[in-house]
Amino acid sequence: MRLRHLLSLIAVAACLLAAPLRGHAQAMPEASVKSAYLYNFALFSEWPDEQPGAGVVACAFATSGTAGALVDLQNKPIKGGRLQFRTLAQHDSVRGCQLLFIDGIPRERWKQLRTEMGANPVLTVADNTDAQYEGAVITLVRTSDKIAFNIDAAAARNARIVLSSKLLRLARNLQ
Amino acid sequence: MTAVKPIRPYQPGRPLGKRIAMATVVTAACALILASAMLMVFQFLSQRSALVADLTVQARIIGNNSSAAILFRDRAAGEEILAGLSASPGLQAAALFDRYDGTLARYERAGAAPAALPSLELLSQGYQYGVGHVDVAQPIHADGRQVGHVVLRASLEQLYTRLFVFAALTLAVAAGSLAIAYLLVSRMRVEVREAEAHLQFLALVDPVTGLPNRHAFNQRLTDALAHADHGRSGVGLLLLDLDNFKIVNDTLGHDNGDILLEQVAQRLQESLRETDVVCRIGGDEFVIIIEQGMAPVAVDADRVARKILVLLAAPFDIDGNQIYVSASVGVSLYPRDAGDAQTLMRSADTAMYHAKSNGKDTFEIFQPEMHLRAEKRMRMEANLRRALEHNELQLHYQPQIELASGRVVSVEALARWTCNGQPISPAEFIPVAEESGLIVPLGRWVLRTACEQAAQWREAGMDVRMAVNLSARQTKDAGLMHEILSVLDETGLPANQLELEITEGILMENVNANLELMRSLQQAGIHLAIDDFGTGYSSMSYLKRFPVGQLKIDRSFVMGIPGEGAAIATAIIAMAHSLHLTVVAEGVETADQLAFLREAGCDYVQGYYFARPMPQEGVTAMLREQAGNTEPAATA
Repeated sequence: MRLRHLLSLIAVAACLLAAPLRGHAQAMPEASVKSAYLYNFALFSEWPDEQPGAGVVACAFATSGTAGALVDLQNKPIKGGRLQFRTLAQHDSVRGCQLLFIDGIPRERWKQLRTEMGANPVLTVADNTDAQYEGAVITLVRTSDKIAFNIDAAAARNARIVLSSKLLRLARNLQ
Repeated sequence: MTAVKPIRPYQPGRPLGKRIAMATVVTAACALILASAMLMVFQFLSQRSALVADLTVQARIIGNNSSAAILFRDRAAGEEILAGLSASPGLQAAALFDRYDGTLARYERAGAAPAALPSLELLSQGYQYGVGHVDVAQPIHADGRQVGHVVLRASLEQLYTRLFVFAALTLAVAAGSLAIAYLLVSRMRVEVREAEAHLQFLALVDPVTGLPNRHAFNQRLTDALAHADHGRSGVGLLLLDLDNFKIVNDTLGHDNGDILLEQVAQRLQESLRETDVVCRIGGDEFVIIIEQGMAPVAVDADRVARKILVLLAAPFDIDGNQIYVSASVGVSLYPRDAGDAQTLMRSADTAMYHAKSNGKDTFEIFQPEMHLRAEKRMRMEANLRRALEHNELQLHYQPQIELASGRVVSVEALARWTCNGQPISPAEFIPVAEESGLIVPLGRWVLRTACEQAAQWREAGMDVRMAVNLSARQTKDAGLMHEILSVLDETGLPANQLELEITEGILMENVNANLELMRSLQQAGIHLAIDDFGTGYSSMSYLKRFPVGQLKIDRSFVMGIPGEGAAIATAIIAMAHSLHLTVVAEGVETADQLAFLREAGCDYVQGYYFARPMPQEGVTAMLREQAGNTEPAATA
């Protein structure tokens, strides 16, 4: 039993070591890709009330398929501080969230949240790979070979969030 | 200037000017090449650094722009960013690597090798040089963390091309400036060469005649002797001295003297063969080097000497005047007479001296006895010096008789010398004294002794005028006047009892200076007479200007009586009387001569017919007798 545990650890370590050597995003699990995207979005965005070294608070619903992978973002260094990750229940308040991952909730709840947040500076990232959420600042979509994203500049402006031009140029679609 | 035979310039090697020009151009070329090479290296290094700096900036910009693409692993965006590099022509390849060294995007110019994963060295240094390219790597940061790196590879081809163009341009400019420098230096060299040639000319050519000068002559003679040694032949050396050049110079001026020299030089050149060389080595001295031809050199030298004398005999036309010039030529032969140039020259000089003493206008070939004679002269000079110091000379006096009264009115003081019991003729020792300078103390002694004697006779009641000869050297002595006056003062002899005789030749040698001397002598009351009249070149106008009271007809004319001398004596007497001068005839030896001179109206006579030169006792006795006897002694 103990030996099996050890062997599986070695196998996992080997996989972890081999992965960067291969260097292919496609090889990674989709949840990890989305998780990395989320982190990168936070990196290339600027909030109006941003404090240096304060880090970023990212929230996702526990019902999201990606929630498990997102937990890994907890305490990741970002902008001189650390990323705090909160898992929300479907009807939890999103107050305090700077980045909100929209997945695993009904579209009605999303509409409700949009009204609730109004013009609050929240970078909303909707995962439309399987669902249809509208009006988020960033929307993840699936293309033939990878996950891409669209950006709604009006929504970003509404939330007073400045997205880096580097991010904008990567967007598959810019509205 | 007359036609000059080409002068062989004396050259120790390649001319200085050419060597300087070569050295200058070679030095300039070396300096230019070195400077160009250094400039090229500097250009290469600085352009390469500039290229690296440019590439680094480009890499930073790309790195900055591509951080998101790296993070999102967006290959298309990465490649799009890199594609912008196509505008940079030197850039060959570029690549974006992510944090795990995975290649995100690549860019390659057609045909170029892809950019490789950067080495550690490249990463730490930021750049790395290859042979034909340079690699630059820059890290890509996002949020302060390194997320990957960008690598650029640029070809150095463009740099090399630019460098090559630069090198070509530099070389072209260098070659152009060298060519200009060479032209300038060449032109300068031509000028230097001309200056050199002119200096050579000045150094080797006599400017008056255009003949080689003494310096060139020494060189030529040395060459000729070496040539003769080589070919076992001989060399003849002719030393030519114009006999009366000084008179021409003094009477017609230096310019005309130069013209005469030029004409003489021309005639000399005409008389020579192609191989013979004529040089002017001094005032009126010329030398001719005769190299042996078909005939023995002695024959040629003899022939040339004769020819020269004949050629010079024709009158020269100087400034409208017909000038007659003669020359004395000394000939010496190599190797017969001398073993080296110096001795050869001395031998020719000795021979020339003999020609001069043999009456001028002639030539003499050197004989070994001439050296013996020269030695004899030297011995005589030593003896004469000793004789003067020990007062071994004597004065004899030759009476001059007034024809009208038959009385002894004056005596001529004549130096006599008996050496080791052997009487020596004044004709022998006076020239020696003249040459050695002993004539000055000798003349002083004669003057003093003669004046003392005259004063003694005067004290004894026998008034007689004392005639003393002045030598050429004495007339040039600035202290002469003072000396004469002090002798007169010391002896108490009245000035009018002293008569100074100057030969016509000496008088005409330096007319102006002598005129001044004679005027001051006349003012002192001293009588003046021109000795040896008729042998020199007296100008009648000068004769009128000279304050002389008496002419002495040269003994050569008196000896010609009866005969051709008679006419000359008659003419001189007539001319002298018309100029209010009295006339003395020298060397009267016969009754016939006396009768003729008396008839011609000559005032005074002097000669063996009446009395030889005699010691003072003889003259004293004669004067006593004359004082006691009113009958003229002469007619006795």
